[in-house]
Amino acid sequence: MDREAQLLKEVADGNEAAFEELFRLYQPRLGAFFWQRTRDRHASEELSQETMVIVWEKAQNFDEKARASSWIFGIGYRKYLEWQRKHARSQKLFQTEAERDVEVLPERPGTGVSGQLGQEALMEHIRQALKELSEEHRLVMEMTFQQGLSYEEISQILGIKPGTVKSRMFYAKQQLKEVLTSRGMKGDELWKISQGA
Amino acid sequence: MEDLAGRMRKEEPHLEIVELLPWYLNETLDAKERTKIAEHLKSCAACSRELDELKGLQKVITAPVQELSSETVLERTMQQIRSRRKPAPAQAQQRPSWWKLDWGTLLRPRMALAVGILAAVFVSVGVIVGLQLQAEKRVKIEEVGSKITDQYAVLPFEIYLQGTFTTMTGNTALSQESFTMFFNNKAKDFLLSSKIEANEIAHAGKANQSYQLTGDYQPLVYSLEGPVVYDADRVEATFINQQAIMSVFKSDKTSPQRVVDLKGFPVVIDFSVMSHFAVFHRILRDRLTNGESLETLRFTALAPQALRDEPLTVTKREETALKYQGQTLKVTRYQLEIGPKENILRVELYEEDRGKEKVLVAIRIPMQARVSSLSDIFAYRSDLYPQGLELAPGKK
Repeated sequence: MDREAQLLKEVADGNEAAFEELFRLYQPRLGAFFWQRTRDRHASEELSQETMVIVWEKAQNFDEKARASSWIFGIGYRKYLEWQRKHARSQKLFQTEAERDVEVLPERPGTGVSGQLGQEALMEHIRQALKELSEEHRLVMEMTFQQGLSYEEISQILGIKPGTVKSRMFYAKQQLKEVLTSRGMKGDELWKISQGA
Repeated sequence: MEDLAGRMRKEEPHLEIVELLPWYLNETLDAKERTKIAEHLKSCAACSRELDELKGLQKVITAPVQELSSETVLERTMQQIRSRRKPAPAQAQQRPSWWKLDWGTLLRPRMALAVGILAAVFVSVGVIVGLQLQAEKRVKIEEVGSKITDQYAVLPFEIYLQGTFTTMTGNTALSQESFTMFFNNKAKDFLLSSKIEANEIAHAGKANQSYQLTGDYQPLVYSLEGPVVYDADRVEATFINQQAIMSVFKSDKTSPQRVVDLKGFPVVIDFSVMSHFAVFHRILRDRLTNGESLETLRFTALAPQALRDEPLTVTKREETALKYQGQTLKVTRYQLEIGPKENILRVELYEEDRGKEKVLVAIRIPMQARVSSLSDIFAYRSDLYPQGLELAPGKK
């Protein structure tokens, strides 16, 4: 049994110290996960807290054969869905506001916008482009890179087939490049960032 | 750059590699997949480029996010979990229930789970009221007048039962079932009907009943064998002579119905009310007093909600002990077996001889395949033993 599964077992027995250790391991990851989704610090903290309370209460249900991270993120994901349902309306308003604020970059055919930008600005443009992807596409990307989850774990959390996780990721990246191109970029920005350009 | 994805689509083995690259990068692939990709990357420039792009994406996505105040959240979370450990408020104790669960210990996760299952068990497997259908043999439960004990009233030669059964998880009502049972002396038949409002997912005809709780409910999943029809608006069982007609009413579907030949056995009806264990116990006592032996006693257990009937036998009677505040309490244990041999539900009844009468003081449903519970289920008469009865060590 790995350390995290061991901790969950101890949490199931009501061990507060084990819970605290597990909390310190997961809170940053959960916080980042919720922050990415909600862009709301208060909501992210609350969702982290609610998720960990459920972990405390339901630890005895954790199947030792499973991985702790997929189990905990599974709870987190359901908490997020609850939050999303409640906030669907206000979130829409928020997004409309945000969309209005997006800086419209001048197109420079031939050179491409990205040619003019430094690394940090380039990253910001990609972040903006990511917002145009569907929620399900962004989720798979973030669960992979932010949370470091395997495709099997993501498949369990989202309740979809592993093959679907892989193809979602594939099309998400493809779509991201299309968005970048439609915004006057060249489509090689991700590669540039990887090279530290 | 040329459209890599477009090229990939034409080359399927390539696609398999490309699809796995994100997880090659986050190092979650198994050894076999990892080796395969590493080998492929050595000779494939397109895939190496794809991997670089993914590295770029990873860099964007993992860029520092706003720091959340971990310590404050930790503090608040710890406060919340500690507050949830405190005993349930007094209102749970005041519930006018004849049977009470050991609420004080409910808040330990494991125990709460057991009780959640306990409740579930009583909703769906829960036995019991016993009635003898043949008029001349019908058990006189009370000789004179009537007696009301919380949920049921028993009248001489006439039985009228009415009540509501609420399944509780902590202080939250999970499901509610109201039921009535009536004996029509003129028509010589019984009618039982119940209405169920439950937060559960069940489908007619499936072998397993899935019971899922969300939000603040304790989670549990248990499975029960046999067809389950629990998403009904109302279930009814009518008894005429030697037959029982069980019906399930649904607003949107044809009502399923089942006729059961009772073969002259007394009927034990599953209608989900815990106090009916006590009624069953009385019938058992009555029949034993009348000279019948355990070996010959047979009951039919009916579960109208599941359109299910099963044999019920009392397999053993033995002297044993329970504990109350460190003291030994001598009791008689009856072991019941419900259902076919390959899928038996075992239930134990604990009877105390209190001089004037023999009273059922506790029931236990041991861990068993038919009920996916992580622990034994034990409930006792908290009106008689407010400090909580316990199984005596080594007496399981």
